[in-house]
Amino acid sequence: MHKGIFLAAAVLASSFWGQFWPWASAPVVVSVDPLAAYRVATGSVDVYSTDRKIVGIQNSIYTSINTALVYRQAPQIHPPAYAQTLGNGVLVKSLSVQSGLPGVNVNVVALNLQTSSANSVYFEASSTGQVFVVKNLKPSAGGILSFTLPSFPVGRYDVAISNSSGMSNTAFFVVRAPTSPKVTVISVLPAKVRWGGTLVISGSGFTATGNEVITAFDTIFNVPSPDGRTLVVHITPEQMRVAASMGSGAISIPDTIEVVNNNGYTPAAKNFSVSI
Amino acid sequence: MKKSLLFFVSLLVGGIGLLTPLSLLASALPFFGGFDVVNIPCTCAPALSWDFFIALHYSVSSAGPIIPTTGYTAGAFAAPVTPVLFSNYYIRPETWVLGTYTQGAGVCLIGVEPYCVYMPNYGLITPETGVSPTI
Repeated sequence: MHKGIFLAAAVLASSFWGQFWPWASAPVVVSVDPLAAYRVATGSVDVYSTDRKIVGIQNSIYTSINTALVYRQAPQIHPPAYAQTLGNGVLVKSLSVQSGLPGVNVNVVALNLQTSSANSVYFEASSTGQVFVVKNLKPSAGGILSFTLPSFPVGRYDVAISNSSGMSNTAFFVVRAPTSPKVTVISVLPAKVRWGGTLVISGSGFTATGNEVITAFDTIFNVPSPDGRTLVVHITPEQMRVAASMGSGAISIPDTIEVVNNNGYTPAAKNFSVSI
Repeated sequence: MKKSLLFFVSLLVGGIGLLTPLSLLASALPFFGGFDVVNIPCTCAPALSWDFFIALHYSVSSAGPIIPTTGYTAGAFAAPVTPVLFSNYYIRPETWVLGTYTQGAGVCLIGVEPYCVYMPNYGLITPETGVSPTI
């Protein structure tokens, strides 16, 4: 009898407790971030440190040549001193795939990898600057890092390897969605363009902003495509600037076009030529 | 017995005959491999380009070794504009290039005649070249 009264009182009390303080009985919801293990704090790594060294070397060589041509006094170019650390540091050679859905297997071939599991592959999103890292990768005997692409947000990334010898150069990778349209280039007109001239690229899968046009001599960033089918670029490779200003247009330099954006990249390059 | 021996010998000779041009040519030339950072057309010597490599490995003779004992170096080669072995892969900046070269060949002059600048290099990339995909 006493036990029954005690039980009824306990049920009543718990019912009141739940009514006045509903959170006390509400189920606890824990949000799980599937990418938490891969996130890197903004600003904590510099993915582009080696890219900047390469650009510095390129610019110093272009300056030497252009200066010699402008002043017409140097019979021979002396390439400037290069950063020895670039050759001794880790360098990306190639990626087995450069676009794909999460879950795809990616092989990165590189030079100067650590033989232990002390290699990390960084992904920096071009549009947001958000950085992810795949850690603790051990290379195969052939110098290849293999991993399965995590569920990173869709978009274009710059990929670099980091280990005790520093950060590598970058390669691009596009994380696609199943619905991403294929990026294709159908035509490049005119077939021959004067240095500084306009080239019209027709194709499909171009994004409204942020297309990247890769030529054999340089890369043109953030090219818009209002209709998704046309890109308009000016061809101004720095290494031909002075020669082009002196020339009559009689010399044709073979060049190529590829496009990469958040949807993917063109599987094959299209040819055109630059006249100087 | 004699017939089969004759057949074997003729097969061997024929096989060597087929393989000789490529294998001898390749083995007679020094080789190189490196990361291309600059590609500039030799405008005073058309159909050539000047490519500067960092993390360059090269041998001075066909006997090798491909990796110099002194470590990595840097330097340039002249290269034919048209790729020789892998037609889809043009030599260009930020790709890895592997191949053989001819020492002393490949004079590269850049500019517009008569204002041409000589670009020093180790030799002409020929006849075999391969390039990694764009990275």
